[in-house]
Amino acid sequence: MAGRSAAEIIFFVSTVIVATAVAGSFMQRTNEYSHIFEQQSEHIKEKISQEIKIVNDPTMIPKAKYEGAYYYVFYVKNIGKENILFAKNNVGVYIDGYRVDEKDLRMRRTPEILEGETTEVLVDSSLWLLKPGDHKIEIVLENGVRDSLEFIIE
Amino acid sequence: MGFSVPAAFIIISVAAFYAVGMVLTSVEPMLEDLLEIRDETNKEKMAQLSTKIEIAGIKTRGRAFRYDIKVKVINRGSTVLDPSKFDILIGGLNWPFDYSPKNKLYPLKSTIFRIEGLRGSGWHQIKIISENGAEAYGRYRIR
Repeated sequence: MAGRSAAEIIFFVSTVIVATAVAGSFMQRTNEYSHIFEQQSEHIKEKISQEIKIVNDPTMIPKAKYEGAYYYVFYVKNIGKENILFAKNNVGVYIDGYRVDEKDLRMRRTPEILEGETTEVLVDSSLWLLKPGDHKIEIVLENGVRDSLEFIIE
Repeated sequence: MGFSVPAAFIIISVAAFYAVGMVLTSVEPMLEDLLEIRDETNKEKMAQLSTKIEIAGIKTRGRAFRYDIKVKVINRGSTVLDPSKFDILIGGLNWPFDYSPKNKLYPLKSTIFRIEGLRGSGWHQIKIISENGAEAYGRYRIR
């Protein structure tokens, strides 16, 4: 009789331990997913509320001298409702589908474009000598917000 | 067996209820935030669609070696605009400007933008961009 009670207690305790472990692991997973969902939600919020526009006159892309070299100047305006983090290391610039390397880029008025403000993206024209004709620039923020502009070099 | 199975069932059920509660309390405010932002973005898109600006006139003063211009811009849309957040490109370059009156640009009202210290003869192209991306083009000639 006493042996049977001891066995039942051991069985009960081990069942409680296993159930607690399962419940703990379940809670931990839920907590992790909740955290991931929170991060994703922040990312989506950021993406929805940010918007940029390349506002150049597409028939006249200016060139400017900066630190001894000539650069094509592209104007990027924050037309969204939130300030945008805008620096070389978190923005991708593509011309005719090719990514412009960070070292060929300069940016003015960074690291943030305030709401309604315009910043300048400078592309080294000695390395990116654009032939006369149609071209396309695309600027992509790290959260996927993007804009593109087709322009002509005459 | 006795109490073992009910005990395990209770522990796992409590954990499951707690987990569901945790998910609901963290997800609900996030969904509300997202819906609110989506509504704001829709309003913003509507405002962008209903923004229209027009260059109603360009007056020049001076000669090719140095001239000033005054550009009259009319708000032809239904969105109230902030002229301080406009951009003015002349010959493709973004120029600093002054404007009057200093208040916001209301529908069917106009604002005069002044740009000084320009150079160059012949025809020039001007592009004006509002804070939400609406654009207008114009041309003028300097003799």
